[in-house]
Amino acid sequence: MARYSDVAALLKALGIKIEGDDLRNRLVVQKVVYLAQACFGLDLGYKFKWYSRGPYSRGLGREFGRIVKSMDSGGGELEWGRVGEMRMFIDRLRRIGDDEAEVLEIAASLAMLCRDIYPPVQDPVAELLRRKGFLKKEVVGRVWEVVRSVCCLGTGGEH
Amino acid sequence: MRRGLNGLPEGIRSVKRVYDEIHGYIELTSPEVEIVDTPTFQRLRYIKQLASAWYVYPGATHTRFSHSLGVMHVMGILATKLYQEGFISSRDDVQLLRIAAMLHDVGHTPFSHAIEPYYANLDPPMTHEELTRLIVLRDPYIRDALERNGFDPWSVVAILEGRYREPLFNQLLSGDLDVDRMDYLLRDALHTGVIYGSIDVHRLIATIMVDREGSLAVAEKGLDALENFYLARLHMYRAVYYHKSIVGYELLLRMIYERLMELYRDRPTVALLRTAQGVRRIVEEGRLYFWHDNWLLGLMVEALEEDRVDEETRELIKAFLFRRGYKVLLDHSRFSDSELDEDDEDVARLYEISRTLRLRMRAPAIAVTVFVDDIPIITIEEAVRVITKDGSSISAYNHPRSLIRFMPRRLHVKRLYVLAALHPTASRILSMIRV
Repeated sequence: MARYSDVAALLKALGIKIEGDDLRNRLVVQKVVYLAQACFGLDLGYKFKWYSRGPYSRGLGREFGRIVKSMDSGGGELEWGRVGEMRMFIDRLRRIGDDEAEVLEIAASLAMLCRDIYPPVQDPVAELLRRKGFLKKEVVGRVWEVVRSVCCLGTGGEH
Repeated sequence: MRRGLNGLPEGIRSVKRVYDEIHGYIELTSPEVEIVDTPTFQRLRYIKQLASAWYVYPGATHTRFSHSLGVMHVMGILATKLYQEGFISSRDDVQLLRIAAMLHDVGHTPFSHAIEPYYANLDPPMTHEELTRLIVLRDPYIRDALERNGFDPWSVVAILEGRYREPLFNQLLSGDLDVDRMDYLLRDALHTGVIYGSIDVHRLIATIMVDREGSLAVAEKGLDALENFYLARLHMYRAVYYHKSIVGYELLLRMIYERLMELYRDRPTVALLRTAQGVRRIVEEGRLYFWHDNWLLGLMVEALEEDRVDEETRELIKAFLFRRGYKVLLDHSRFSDSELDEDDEDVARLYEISRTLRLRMRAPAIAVTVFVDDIPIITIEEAVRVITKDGSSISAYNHPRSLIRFMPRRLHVKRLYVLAALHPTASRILSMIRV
């Protein structure tokens, strides 16, 4: 199965709807895939850089249309043992704020700050607020409580 | 010359200058000279920037070496401007950015994009980006030159991979409007003669700003230069990077490389070049210097004289060396706003015709080949932001006075190629199929 089909199956399994080609939906796909790869070890082979809205994969951006099409046609099933665990993680994030895209963006950005950014970032919350001053400190703090234990324990070593 | 326009902020000293056909004098600092003087960086003198494009545009013989120095220079000008404006905090960071810029292409294989798919398809794969990372971290010459001058190779890698702690640094080298593109559009347009591929780099740099979110953006008054930048890129995709004959020669080179890697597998060097682990060993032993266009051309010439090389491989090599490569038989390329469907009817038809041609001509598989690619021209997430008069910024793709919103988002390339010697026969058969 092509990797974009896996992404479509992942989104379906997590109960995430993507309708239409706009920036919001594109951001949601980017952040969910980043979190699945970085925090839950799902190897889809996408490489992420830090872009203006946090982790961004050019390869994934180029496949957005195919992902939507695959979802529209029902999508396949993803054989992956950690779907339930990731769904619980996403549900915990959803309870923090009404705007699913924003919460996912915060979560993925915090995860990238604690895992991939070099030189290492000592305080991901402060760093994210420095980068995105428009975010509410209280929301970022609550997202960090969810992200820290899942994505950031035992990070370090080779960057 | 005004400070900064030579690519160096006040306090950073040039120890050498190189004359460049695009930028004039390019100043080099002491750490930069040390890097340039390594065998690993000198290798870039023997890798042409546009692989086999000189088969179509005879002047396109410029190299990764001159491009790398050009990118470093443009980075110097832009980073110095941002340093003077307070968006980059120290001169040392300008130096670090220049070094990252000069090393951004150090991981290209011989003939770059023509050969790189061979390595991307290995198990485990080795992409151009992974090779760059490996060279910066493990090549003894590059790593030592960096460390001797107090630069952390990991920082260089983080900038090249777009995950450095200062987000602005990442955008300078890998955004939609980055210093790499600014140099290669100018350089490739000059050497090919495709003048509508050129850009106004000084206007772009003069109008580049940092928006409220800390992202690189262009002031509204730079919108014309930005539109020209996107249009130039589009023209270069069509006229050069995906030119029908150039793509044909790159396909041919790829096939030849695969065959030579198999034929010469008993040679120690080739045995290493057949795997990602082997390439890693060559890098770590500081022996990468030989791996360039001229090495591959030499191997091809040698193969023509060897009895053990099969006739089909010799024909492919002759087709390349004597410019008798693939010719386009059918071309259904077009612009589009959506991604290319996996079950695209044009593509399915091209594959069907290629099978028919092979059967009717009783030709080997290599005689006919289909090339398909889906090239993004503008991606919503990556589009450069434009700073409006009230100080906010919006995507150039959404700006009400921008031409960019009317540009196609993708180029679908769909072609059927036939070896030149078989082209007349294939054309006759094709006309019969169509009847």
